[in-house]
Amino acid sequence: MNGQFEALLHGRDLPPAGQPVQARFVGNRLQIEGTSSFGIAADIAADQIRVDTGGFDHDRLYLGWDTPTGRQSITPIDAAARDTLLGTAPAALAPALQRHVRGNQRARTQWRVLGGIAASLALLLVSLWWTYGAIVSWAADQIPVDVEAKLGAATLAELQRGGKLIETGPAVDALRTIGDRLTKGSRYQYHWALLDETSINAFAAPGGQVVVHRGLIAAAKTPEELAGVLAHEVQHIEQRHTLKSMINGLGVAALATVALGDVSAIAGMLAYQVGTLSYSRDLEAEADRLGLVALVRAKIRPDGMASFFRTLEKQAPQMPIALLSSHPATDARIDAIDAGIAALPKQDYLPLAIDWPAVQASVKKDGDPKP
Amino acid sequence: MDMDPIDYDIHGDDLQYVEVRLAPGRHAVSEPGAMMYVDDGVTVSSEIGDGSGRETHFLARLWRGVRRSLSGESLFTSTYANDTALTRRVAFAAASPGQIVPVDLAAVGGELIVQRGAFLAGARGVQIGIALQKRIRVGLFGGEGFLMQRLSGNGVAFIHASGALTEMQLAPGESLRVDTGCLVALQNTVRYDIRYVGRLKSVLFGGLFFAQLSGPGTVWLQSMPLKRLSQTMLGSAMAAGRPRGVFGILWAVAVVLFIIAKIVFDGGQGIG
Repeated sequence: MNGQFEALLHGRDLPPAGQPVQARFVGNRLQIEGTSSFGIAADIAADQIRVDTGGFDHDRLYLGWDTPTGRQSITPIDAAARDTLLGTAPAALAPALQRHVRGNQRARTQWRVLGGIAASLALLLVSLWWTYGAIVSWAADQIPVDVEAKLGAATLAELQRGGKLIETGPAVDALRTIGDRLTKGSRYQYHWALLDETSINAFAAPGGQVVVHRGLIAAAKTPEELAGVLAHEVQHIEQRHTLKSMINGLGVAALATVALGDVSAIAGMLAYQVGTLSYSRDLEAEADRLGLVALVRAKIRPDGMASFFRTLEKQAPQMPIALLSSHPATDARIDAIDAGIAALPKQDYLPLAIDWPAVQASVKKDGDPKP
Repeated sequence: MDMDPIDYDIHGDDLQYVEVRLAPGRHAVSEPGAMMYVDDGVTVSSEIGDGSGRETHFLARLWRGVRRSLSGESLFTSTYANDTALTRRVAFAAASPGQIVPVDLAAVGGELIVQRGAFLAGARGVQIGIALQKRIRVGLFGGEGFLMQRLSGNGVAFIHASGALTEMQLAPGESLRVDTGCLVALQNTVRYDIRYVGRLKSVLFGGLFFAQLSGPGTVWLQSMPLKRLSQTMLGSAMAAGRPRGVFGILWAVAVVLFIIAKIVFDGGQGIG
């Protein structure tokens, strides 16, 4: 323990890599000796020494002093030499050396903090992704039923202004007959209507508005097929799929408007896109699955749902089928419905007391395309 | 570690290539694609890793290769082995107008930090690794990004950069302010920091930051960073075609606004 450490001496006229020297503190002075091939001896008072931090990584310790030929400095050759230097330095240098050591620690802390922030952000994103569905459901549940009803009523008013809504007649009665069985005990007030359009489509607006194009009545072979579509649409309302899609698509701002009670703007938007509003694949699958359950509960034969989609698929080339664009009738989907039906327990179904040919005749108009 | 001493000549003025003469049994390494010509009898092979021949395990070499590719080089290294009994030549050409500078790594303490992609070729045993910029400010605004190359070993490495290359030795405590992007290489003893220009006029009409290099150590600077060159060429290509467009107008508006602001704040004493 003689306090000697190896260092590199830098200065003008010295090699760029530095000249290896031996250094030690003696009292308040730094003494430097060269090697046998490089004779140098220097003796510098501590108050002449300036402590600097340098190097590419800003972690090198330099002790510098001025000479008549310019500034010279030494830097410890390795970690052990640095420790010896720090351990044997006189008190006069202690504050500056402390600053150097703390500066190094600060740089490391900075990276740790940055890493920590990045890691927690990543964690947050992952957990958001995991719980996204739950968050959307929770947000949808925060909207009271009467706001939904207002939204639905406003949407209906927009549609009525369009002049194509049919709210009486045998077809609307048929919708109500089936619908009442499907929605028994619901918290929503349902309203059934027909739209004077020949395309095959049906849609649901929040709060219990179900609208069916008259083209769909013409295309359905049995009332059970219509019931299958209605069961599906009713689930969009019961499960608040419109709200969930709005939360997904329109974001928090639209939701805040609704929560504050101003539904007119949103309702206008909804009325405009309500026929083409598409739900995510997951929401469609959920509506299919729960729709089957509702059919069974209402004692309506559930195979109408699958057979209607099959009819749609077959007729797709000839008919303007809007339902397909918003409710893609893929094979996978029909298979899933079939599997759902097969898994249902055997039970007796009550036939729907509807004069189907008469209902279909009531929605026919001259000049309709022949199915 | 076996370092192959090599004998070389650099040819050309602004579009340079380096010809290396390999003694029998000697090797050189380069980036794939840097080779210009090679004598008969020199075995050329590409391998994953840095070609130092130290690791034989594939994964270890792959890891070295990945580190190389992060630092802007290829995953592969080409090696040139002279298997004959005579001295053979192999030449490496630079990919852009500029200069090739040989650096003896032993003379700079066995390690050199260089700009991404600046390594052209070298003696066998020169290793290329990553020099991670640990100062966040310097990484963001220093013009070199967070990753540079760390060349280590004791042999000669040829580095290349566009424009004229100049070497400067900084004494302890001596410092130099450099435009960001002009720094090509520095010894690891040099402190590399960032200085904010700090004057509105300079910010508007120049850059925002300078690189500040403090000794001791040697630095290499390039006169024409590729970014600047491509901006100039893009600018003249655009000017030849059509009017300067919306950016030209925006720039003119910015300049006029600045002059107005200057007049207002200086109390109408003129533009200073």
